Amino acid sequence: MKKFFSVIIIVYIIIMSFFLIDLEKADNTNMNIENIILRVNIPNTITAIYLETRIYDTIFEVVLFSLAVVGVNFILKNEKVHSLKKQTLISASHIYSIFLSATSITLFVYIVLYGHLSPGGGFGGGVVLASGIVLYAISANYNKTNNTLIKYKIEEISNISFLITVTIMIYTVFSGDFLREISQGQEFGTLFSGALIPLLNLLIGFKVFAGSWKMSNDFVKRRGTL
Amino acid sequence: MNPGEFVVYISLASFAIGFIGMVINPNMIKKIISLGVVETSVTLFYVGISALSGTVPPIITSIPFVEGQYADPVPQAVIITGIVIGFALLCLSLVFTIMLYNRYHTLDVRSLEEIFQRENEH
Repeated sequence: MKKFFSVIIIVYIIIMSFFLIDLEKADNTNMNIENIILRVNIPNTITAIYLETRIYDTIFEVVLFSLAVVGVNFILKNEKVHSLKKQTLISASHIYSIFLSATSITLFVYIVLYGHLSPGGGFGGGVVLASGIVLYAISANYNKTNNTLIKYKIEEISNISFLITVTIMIYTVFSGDFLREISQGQEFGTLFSGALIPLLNLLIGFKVFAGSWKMSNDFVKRRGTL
Repeated sequence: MNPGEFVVYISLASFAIGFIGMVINPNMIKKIISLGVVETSVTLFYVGISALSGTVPPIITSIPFVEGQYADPVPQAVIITGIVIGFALLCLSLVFTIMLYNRYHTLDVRSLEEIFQRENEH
């Protein structure tokens, strides 16, 4: 009975919100896009907004993601670890996962470096690479990826990339004119027309990749508990 | 009907489905999955709002700007923050679920409440 009433109340609230939403379209979209293109000089207006005109928002977005990674590591440290002696291997999934993870590395480089010319960007690219690596870990060799994470000091490098990202972003907030002069000198639609935006995308992508890999690694380690 | 309006109504319906699942499911993991549905529907809502002015993606290929039926880029850029917040929220709530299961060996909210009440009485 309680459940029935709660469902009725939720449906009532949602139906009432149908009447509250203002569905008039924005009338100056073309003018906004033209202003952004003239100011930032890159084809992808969405990248231009979140890495140039509203970059103050993105600083805290990156900080929030890093905080989530630190929180997951910190809380899971005291939970018991599932000991993994050997992994059941199916040869077909092994070979396909190697192929897919290699493809995901190529896709990462393309999505991140061309994020300001075509759909893409740092966040999407990082998740693509991390899902490729985690797929390899689950279906082929978990211990190898875990050793790689420790051996190449992925976390330390990602923390350094996080610091560089925040530094560049704060620099862009307070003296962005210099960067805008660089990008105005380049031809529209080339790789370097975004000034530091490809570099920012690369650093954010690496941070997102390392963070999501570390988090899924921790979850896989403790999978016997659920 | 404008395709943007259609997407907005679909997103409201999926918001209701996720919210109902979050309220009436007693299992913690199912509650978290419903939370994921709600977050995705919010993203869909913003995409629908941005598609009201047109459905062409706002990626301009040639420099003398030609006016067209472009989608509004501002809501799409804002919702990137929302996606990252949703991701962080899901990860942290899963971690707390793992902690609860290790302590009490159940994921049912009703039995968890009973356990907490018994602990408070002692």
